[in-house]
Amino acid sequence: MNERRMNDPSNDREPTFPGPELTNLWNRQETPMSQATLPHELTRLTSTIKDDHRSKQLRLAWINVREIVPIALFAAFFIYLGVVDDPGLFVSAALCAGIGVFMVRSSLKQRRVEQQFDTSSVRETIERSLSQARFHHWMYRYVGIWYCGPLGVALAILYIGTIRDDPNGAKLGDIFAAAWFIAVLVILWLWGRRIANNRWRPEVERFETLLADVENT
Amino acid sequence: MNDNRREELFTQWMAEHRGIVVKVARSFTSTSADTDDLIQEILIRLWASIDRYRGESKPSTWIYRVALNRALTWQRDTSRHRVASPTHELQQLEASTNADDQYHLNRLYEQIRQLSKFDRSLMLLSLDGFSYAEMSEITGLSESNVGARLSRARSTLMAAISEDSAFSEDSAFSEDSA
Repeated sequence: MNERRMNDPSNDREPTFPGPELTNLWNRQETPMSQATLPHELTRLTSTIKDDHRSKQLRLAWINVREIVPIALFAAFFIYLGVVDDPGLFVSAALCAGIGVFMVRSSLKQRRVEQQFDTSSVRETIERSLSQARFHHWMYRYVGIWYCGPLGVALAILYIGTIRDDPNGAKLGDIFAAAWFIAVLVILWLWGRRIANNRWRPEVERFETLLADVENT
Repeated sequence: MNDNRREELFTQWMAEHRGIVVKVARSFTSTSADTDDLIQEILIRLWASIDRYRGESKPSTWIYRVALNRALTWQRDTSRHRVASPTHELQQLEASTNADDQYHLNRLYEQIRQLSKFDRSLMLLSLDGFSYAEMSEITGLSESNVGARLSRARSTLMAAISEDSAFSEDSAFSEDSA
């Protein structure tokens, strides 16, 4: 390659780009393999990829379970308390169930969208990835509220019930329980904010930059 | 699609077009560990995409699309547990090139990696002889936009190559032989 060809204004449409030497070099990367070895190696490769694909599916399923199990346990816990203690706690159970359904639905929807990623155009894939990263960022940023909502309602119902039944009946144990709940909520909120800021914010920025690059024509 | 048909198609794609996966992975990563990870990711996506392949586009176009989509959105995940590496198998499939070619190819990939990610995609497609119409189908840009972007990317790449001593000092790439 040389300066003269590079500076030629007609170079834009030069059919021989990038020149015979580089084209030959580029094409020499792929040389047909011996037919004696190829089938054996391809079988091994296919088998490895099948295993990898299966493992990846299992890993994704495990992540979904990990996200949904806590809220399902909360729902079960509040149903139990609703039965044995205060029927008002069914409201918290319903809130937890609602959040659980929302999470399951969004996971399923996301999986469907992800399946289209591979075979869409590059531009569409980047747009979808950006929208997905924004959704994750939003969800983790407000994860404290998802969990705070039902727990806060439960806490309020328990206290209102206690005070209604016996205005002087608030015990030290209740205060400890409230403090424990608040601590759990603060930890959840901090954890969600950390994931949103450290993992999903950079992803959003990365895809925004990538999309800006694509649109910069 | 049944498993046998899927395996048959995947094997056929790898026999004929495995180079695309390696080229894309090398252009989007700078360490061999990352290249391994990206190759693995692309192959898994290709395997999963077979069900949706209807034969409306050429296999090479389909493979490029899947590979570029994965490469562009891929981000190294250090927390991920690698289940198995297909790299050994793929390396077995890659015929070895001589040391001189390897040296020049490494330099060429280094220069390609200097381009923006999207320009890299266009450059790979261009080097592999895809038409503007095919590039437009893969990237989602209009043909005229593909042409404009590619023209800029080519100029950048050619300028970098002309300044790279690996090419300018080698008689095979010098002006006389061009």
